[in-house]
Amino acid sequence: MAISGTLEAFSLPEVFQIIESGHKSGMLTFKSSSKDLSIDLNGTFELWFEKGNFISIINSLDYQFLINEIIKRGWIDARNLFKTTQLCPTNQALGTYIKQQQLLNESQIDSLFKMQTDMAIKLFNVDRGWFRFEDLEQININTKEQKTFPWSEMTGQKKKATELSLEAMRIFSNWSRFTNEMPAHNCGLQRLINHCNLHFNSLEEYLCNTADGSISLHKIAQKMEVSIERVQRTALSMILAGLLEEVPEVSLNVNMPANNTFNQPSNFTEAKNISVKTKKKSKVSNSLINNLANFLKSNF
Amino acid sequence: MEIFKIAVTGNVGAGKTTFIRTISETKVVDTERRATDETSLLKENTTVAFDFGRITLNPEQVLYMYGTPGQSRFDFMWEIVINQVEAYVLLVAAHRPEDFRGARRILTFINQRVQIPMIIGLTHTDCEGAWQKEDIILALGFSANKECPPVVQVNPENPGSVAQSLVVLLEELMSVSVV
Amino acid sequence: MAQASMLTEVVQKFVTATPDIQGAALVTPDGLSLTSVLPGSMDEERTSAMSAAMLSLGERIGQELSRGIVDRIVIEGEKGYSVMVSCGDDAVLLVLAAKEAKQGLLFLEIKRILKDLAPMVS
Ligand SMILES: Nc1nc2c(ncn2[C@@H]2O[C@H](COP(=O)(O)OP(=O)(O)O)[C@@H](O)[C@H]2O)c(=O)[nH]1
Ligand SMILES: [Mg+2]
Repeated sequence: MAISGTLEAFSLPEVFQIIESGHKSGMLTFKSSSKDLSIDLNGTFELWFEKGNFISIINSLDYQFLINEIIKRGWIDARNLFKTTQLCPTNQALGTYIKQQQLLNESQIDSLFKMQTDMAIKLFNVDRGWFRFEDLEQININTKEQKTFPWSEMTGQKKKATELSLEAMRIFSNWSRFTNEMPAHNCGLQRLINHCNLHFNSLEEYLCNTADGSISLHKIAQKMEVSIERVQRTALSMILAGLLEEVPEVSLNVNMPANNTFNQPSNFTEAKNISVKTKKKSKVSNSLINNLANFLKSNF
Repeated sequence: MEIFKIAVTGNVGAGKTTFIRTISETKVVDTERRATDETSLLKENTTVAFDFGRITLNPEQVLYMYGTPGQSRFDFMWEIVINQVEAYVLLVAAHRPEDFRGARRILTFINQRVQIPMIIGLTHTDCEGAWQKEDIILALGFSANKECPPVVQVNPENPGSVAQSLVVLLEELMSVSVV
Repeated sequence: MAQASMLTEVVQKFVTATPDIQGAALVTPDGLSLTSVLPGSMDEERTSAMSAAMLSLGERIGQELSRGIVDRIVIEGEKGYSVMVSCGDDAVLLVLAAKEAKQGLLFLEIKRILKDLAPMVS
């Protein structure tokens, strides 16, 4: 079964978080139903991911985006390009093949991929719409058609889903959509992951490094000399991306368990061990547990 | 008398009150009030202090179950309850993706305070639009890099199903105590 | 239900006009604030949720222990009182009073304000 829903219920950054942390490969179908005419995104979009990385985007009204773009830019003439697409092996990204054939250089491919990521980033501003993510493997099991990646729409480049989501949220403007979700001035932040290889801006970096629940957004804004709104928005972007969590102010004076593992450049196995060790040893007797288990098994 | 206390937590409408009512031997002490916030779209009443249920095993041993309110404005109740218990169940309604982040928040809140055995119970898996277990786990912030507690499907209206989920919680408790 | 501004006016007046009363909040039985006049350091949202939880728990205890209908919940601390009372079926009133307040007088004042507020919130 697929992940699907409306944007009102589940935002795009959250969808991207699931795709990334699940290392998913497949297709995210996206259809805007926004009444906001300033966002011109007609048609259905297909966003493609490989192992949690964004690799391509296709608009149903503009198939062959990549090929058309190359022709439009006058980089390769149509006939020549057509021949090249015919020669491109079936499971190789067109961009990679064209580069191998030395028809385009690295920076030209980069700029084509940038166009694709920019198009994906635009989708984040849509406030109403519908999405559905289908796992490539599952598409093939369910439909028996051998669907594969859209090789002819791929540059061969990729970007982590979360990375893309953070980039999108940095230039996001439609914040009124998230009014109810905005973390409060007096709340703190808690880090959810031990480490990540994302490119942060300085505020993101700061939020991540200080996220032990002991400093309020308000204080961060003062310290970093940026507006509280900016801190809230950046924090929310990172919360939606699954990097941080909002924790209430009350936790600031609570004795925290000594598992601030994130301060060390820890590895995950180490973190796991610590979390097991610090689990409170149960005071319940084995006799009670056995009696309860027997009771539950035999009476219901 | 030995008392074993557990908590049942989760978002509004996840099925906490129903869960405890279904398995408790006594009429549940509930503190429900008519909902006036967005909860009212979901159901008429909402827990404002805690639910309380009980299973007496013998004159010497008893299980207490505490259900928390779901809304985050009651997080002081989460704190009070969670500090009393030995283990807990986090219920998540599988068909309400908009609530997954709220569940993740409860989880973070609790983890910051206590490290006790817990399981995740997925409810409403029979409802339309229910997500797959694997995807819900990811939405709750678990992945290959972050160890996930046991996850069970549970129908809070079904005594057998509730009993089974509690057995899983007991197994988790045992496995942790052994370490 | 009366307009929020009218409720605010009545509660505000009650707090400023009654000696030894330091704050008050009118909240729904499920813990949302209707209006409040509280000392600056107090979080309205939390205070509201707590008042509702406390009153509902108190009423359950009253019932369980056969104490009849609960008039009020009083928390008496070294620095003063917090009193929680039902205000009709649709609201809970929280009143904060200084240590110096005379208890009898305090309860009387609360009864009086309830008479004004109850019809406004039903
Ligand atoms: N169909 C279905 N309904 C459920 C399930 N679990 C709970 N419910 C219903 O969901 C509603 C909300 O449950 P409640 O126990 O009040 O949720 P609480 O807010 O967590 O205490 C009730 O009407 C339950 O009967 C489930 O697994 N499937
Ligand atoms: Mg409930």
